Amino acid sequence: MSTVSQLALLFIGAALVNNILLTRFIGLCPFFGVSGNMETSVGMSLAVVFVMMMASSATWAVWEYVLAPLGVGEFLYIPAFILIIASLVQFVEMYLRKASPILYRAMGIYLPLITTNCAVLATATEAAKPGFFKMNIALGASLSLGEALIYTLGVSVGFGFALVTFAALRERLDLAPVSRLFKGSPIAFITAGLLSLAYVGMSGWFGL
Amino acid sequence: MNSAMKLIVPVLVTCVVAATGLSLTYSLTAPKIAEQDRLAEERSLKAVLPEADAFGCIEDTAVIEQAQAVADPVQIIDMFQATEGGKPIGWAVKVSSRGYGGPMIVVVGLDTSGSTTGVSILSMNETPGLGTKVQTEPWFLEQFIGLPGGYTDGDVRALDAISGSTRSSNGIRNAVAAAGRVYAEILFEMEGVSE
Amino acid sequence: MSEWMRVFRQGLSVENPLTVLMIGLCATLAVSTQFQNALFMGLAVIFVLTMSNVLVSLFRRVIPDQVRIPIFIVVIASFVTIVDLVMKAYVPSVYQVLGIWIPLIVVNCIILGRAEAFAYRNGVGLSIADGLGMGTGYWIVIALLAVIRELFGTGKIVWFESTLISLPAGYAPPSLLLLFPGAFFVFAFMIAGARLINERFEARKEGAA
Repeated sequence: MSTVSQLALLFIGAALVNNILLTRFIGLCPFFGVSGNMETSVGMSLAVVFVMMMASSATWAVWEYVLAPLGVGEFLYIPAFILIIASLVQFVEMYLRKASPILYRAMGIYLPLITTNCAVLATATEAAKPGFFKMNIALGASLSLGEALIYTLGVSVGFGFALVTFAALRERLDLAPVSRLFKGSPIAFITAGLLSLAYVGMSGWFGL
Repeated sequence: MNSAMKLIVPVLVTCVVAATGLSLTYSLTAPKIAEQDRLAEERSLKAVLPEADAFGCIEDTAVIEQAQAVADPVQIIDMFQATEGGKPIGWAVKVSSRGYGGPMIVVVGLDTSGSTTGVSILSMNETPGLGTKVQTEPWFLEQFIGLPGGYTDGDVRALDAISGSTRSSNGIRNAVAAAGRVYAEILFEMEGVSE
Repeated sequence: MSEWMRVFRQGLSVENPLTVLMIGLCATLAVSTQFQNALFMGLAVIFVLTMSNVLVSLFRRVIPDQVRIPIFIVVIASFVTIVDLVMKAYVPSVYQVLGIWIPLIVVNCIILGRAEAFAYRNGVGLSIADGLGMGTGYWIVIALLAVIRELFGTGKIVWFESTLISLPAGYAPPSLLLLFPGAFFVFAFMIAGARLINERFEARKEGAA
């Protein structure tokens, strides 16, 4: 059983020390794709938190009650998990469109993009069968549903935080005089490199 | 209904074909994968205790649990008694220790007096060219050989780390220190017990 | 045949997935610390991309439009799992390092993107050209990135146990190149370099015309 402080460490480890974007390189496509301005990056971050939480609960349950007991997990988990995530996203989109136009406007257009976001697949897989992606070394051999959800919350909040920070930097970057060859994506990569350096500095905090 | 079937059937057919194909591939590769894992383990065991001709896995869960309590924060995966011609000549402790990029699986060899005979890395996920120096720079693992029986955590910590790869080095040092503690507390008393 | 070559070459140059379209970056930056790993990663991508292109284009007339994405995903995921199992069985030392990234090929935007944008609309022959071209374009860039990072980050290039090339002994390799930030820096310079070459190329073409 885990104590509150262990759960807090799990959260911090997932959100900051082992930040999925800047220390593990997972989920970079939206990181560069939608970080052009503040508003879209906030919408994307919200959508990611939402989808990751749902995806992790679903893959956790499927692994625990279907794949692992049947002994087919080793070779079916990739198609099974991605299919779960894809259909989940589809249903959420359909539901939001009808039920909550405000939420739909805030994050609806990002939902299809999220299906092919490696961060979601990686986190949902890690929550269901920990240790595979080696994203958080504080994880034990298996997680309870609660731990899996705290972990997922940590990863997704860390993702959103990094994305929004980066968007803020890029808005400033648009005004800066940049050499012709480096304008646009190259300078964005260099900025991301510097941001990533800051995260490398956190490695080892709290022994994580 | 008919139109819904038109959508569902192709998806189902795809899924069934895919699942069949994959279970076929799995049944073909599974023995090979198990064989590779076994070979890798055998290589590491041989590397740390070259004279041994057989390794008996310690199955007693009570012993493993005791060892785990002593080894914490390093995780014990397996413990082996090494024998040569039926005579016990030492121990091999397979542990999972925390490196920079994730868990490192390390095998530590000890002779019957508890002195280290070798350290071998079974798997790790360290940064290539940086953290992996713990394996590619031969002096690093060699310095652990011949620590006297009953060595302490301090003795291990006094050895050098690789500059720039401190956390990977610490992963190995913690593994060796844990093996020392396990010997002093548990294996020492099991001496002479032949499995 | 010339049409085939044109599609193939597009993947290498004007539609290069990495330097031009900038998709599928995650794995590229992560595994490009070592030339050997980058080569195997590239091979895995070429295989999955070409095979999924072939299947999607073969069955494009019977796949209903509304459910095409789930079907693509299952097809891709199956090929990825095959690569995953085969690598684990035959090149375990490479799998140890790439292990994390092989399953993630499923969500590599290049593959789903090509199934959707190309294979679903074109014949098998052209889809093979597209798969091979895009895959090879990916392969070249990731290998180049890995060569730069490994050579200058460690001072030598290693192929399994043997050293292929090594820099003079006095060279003190900056390990930053091997860490995550280094990947971003090197890649930024590679894109800038690719732009420079493209510009020169365009200028010469205009000069000739």
